[in-house]
Amino acid sequence: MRKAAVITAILLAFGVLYAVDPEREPFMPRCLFHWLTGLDCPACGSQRALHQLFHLHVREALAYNPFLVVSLPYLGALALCRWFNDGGRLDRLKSMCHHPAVIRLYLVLLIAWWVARNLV
Amino acid sequence: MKEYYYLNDRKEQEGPVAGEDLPRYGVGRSTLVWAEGMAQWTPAGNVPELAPLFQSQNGGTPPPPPAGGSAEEKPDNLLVWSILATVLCCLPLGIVAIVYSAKVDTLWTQGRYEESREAASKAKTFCLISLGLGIVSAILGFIFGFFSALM
Repeated sequence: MRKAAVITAILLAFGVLYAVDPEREPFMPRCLFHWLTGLDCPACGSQRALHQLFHLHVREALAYNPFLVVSLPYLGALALCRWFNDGGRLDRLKSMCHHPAVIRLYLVLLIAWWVARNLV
Repeated sequence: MKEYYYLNDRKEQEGPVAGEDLPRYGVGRSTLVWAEGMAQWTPAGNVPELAPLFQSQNGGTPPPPPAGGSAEEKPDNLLVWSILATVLCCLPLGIVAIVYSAKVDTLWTQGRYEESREAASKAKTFCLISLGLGIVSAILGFIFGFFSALM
C-alpha cells in the first residue's frame, strides 16, 4: 500500500518533469539555497537535467548537473535494496551501499562538487 | 572425588564434604580447602581436581549486556530518504541527514543501541525538515511564477 503510494508519487513527479521544462516554466519548485544565497547547491540543475534526460538529451543533462552521474545510480541502488529486496537477494548490494566508507565517499564527493561548482 | 575440609567465612574448619558438593556449601575459588594428602590449606580454584567446578562460576556465564538496553531490531537508517532529500535540493539539511543515517549502522554494530536509535530519529527529523522546505520551495516557485506571468 505504502509502496504503491511512493511509486505513484515518483511516477507522477517524473511525468511532470517530462512534460514541463523547468528552464522555461517558472512554476517549478525553486532551490531555497540558491534563492537565498545566489550560490548553487550540489543539486541545483537536477530538475532541468532530469527533464533533458527524459528526452534522451544526455549531453544537455550533464551540462545542468554532472553530479547526477554519481547520485542517480547510488540512489537507484539504494531504492532497489529498500523496496525490491524480497527474500534478501540484494543483501550484498545493500551492505555495500550502506557501508560507512561508501557513504563517506559520497559525502566527500558531494561537498567537493558543491565547492567546485561555485568556484568555477 | 575426595572429601574436603574447608574454612568458612570466620576461618573455622568445616567438613568434610565431597569435592563436587563444595560449591553448594558456599565454597568459591578462593576459599581455602584441605584434603588428605595435601601439604597445606589451598584455594579451591588452585586444586586441580576442583578447578573445573569453579570455572563455570565466571567463565560460563555470559557477560552483562552492553549499556543501552537489549538488542532489538536495528533502527531504519533512512539512507534512501536522506540522499533523496539532498538530491531534491534542500541543503544543507540533506547532508546532515546523510551524516546521521551513516551513524545509525556504525553505532549499532558497536553495540551503542541507544545512540543508534537517537541517530535514526535525528536522520528522520532532518529528512522531514527537508521535505517541509521542499514543499515550501515548490509553493514559492509557484507563487513566483504566477506573479512573473502576471507582469
